Amino acid sequence: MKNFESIFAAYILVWAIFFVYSITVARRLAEVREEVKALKAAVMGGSKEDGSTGLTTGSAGR
Amino acid sequence: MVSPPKIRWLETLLVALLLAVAGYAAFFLAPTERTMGAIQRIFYFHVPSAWTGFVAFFIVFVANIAYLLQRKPKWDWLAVSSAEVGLAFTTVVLVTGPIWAKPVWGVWWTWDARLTSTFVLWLLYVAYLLLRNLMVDPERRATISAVFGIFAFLDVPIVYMSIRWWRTQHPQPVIAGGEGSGLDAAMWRVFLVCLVALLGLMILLIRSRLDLEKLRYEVGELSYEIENRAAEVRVRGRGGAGR
Repeated sequence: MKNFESIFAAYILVWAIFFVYSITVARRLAEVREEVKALKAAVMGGSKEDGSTGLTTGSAGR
Repeated sequence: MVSPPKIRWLETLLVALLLAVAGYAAFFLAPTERTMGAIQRIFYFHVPSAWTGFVAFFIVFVANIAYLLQRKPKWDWLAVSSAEVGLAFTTVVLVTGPIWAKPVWGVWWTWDARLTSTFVLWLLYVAYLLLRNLMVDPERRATISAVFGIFAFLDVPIVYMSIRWWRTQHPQPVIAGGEGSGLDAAMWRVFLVCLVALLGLMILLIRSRLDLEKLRYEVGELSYEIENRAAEVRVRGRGGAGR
């Protein structure tokens, strides 16, 4: 097949771009999940210490 | 709402299967083009990636308008998620194009209307994402990036129409290109399989990216909660010390 190397390179690059992007999204998701877990633990810990009832709502996006 | 993990897993499997079928069809099932030969097979990922990128940027455009009208953070999350995914697809277009161009044109790149407007489109959405990183206040960030996103989308019709409006080195349209244009039926089938596979991938990627935005919002809420509690403790401490 003529230009096989070019076609092969193009296809490898296509998959590489999508693969690398998917990995970066998955990695960021895992990091933020960990952060949420740690913050939830901190909030719950605080609730037990000061006797409050837990999370309040309405602080969105600040 | 986050779909159950089992359904997500099945959807991912379905898209992976579609992508595998698309790759096989583009390589082995599509007929070899008469003048360009095998290198034309790049078309099956180059063009569907461009169209999928356009769809992603259209989602950004709609989400930006919706945000400006309703001021709901979910629209901002959708916009940034789609912008990032659209950028990934446009990167594929800009990478596969030159690989096709070198053996066909003899040069990797030329500054014709189609190539230049596509590169500008890529730069616009890179700028959109960079701009967001410069602003800390979520409402200000969402508003300014929504306005910029609407402006950036104006380049999409220019990219699409560039080969119709101007004489370009880029090939004339083979799909919806008027008289004398068109694809062989077998090529059409392969093209559609590739397009559906890439659209499926786009949906999966946008959804994952959207989950990330939702979680970041949750981080913001929890951090705010902790700050509030710390402030309460400080106030109580001062009250106690004053007695």
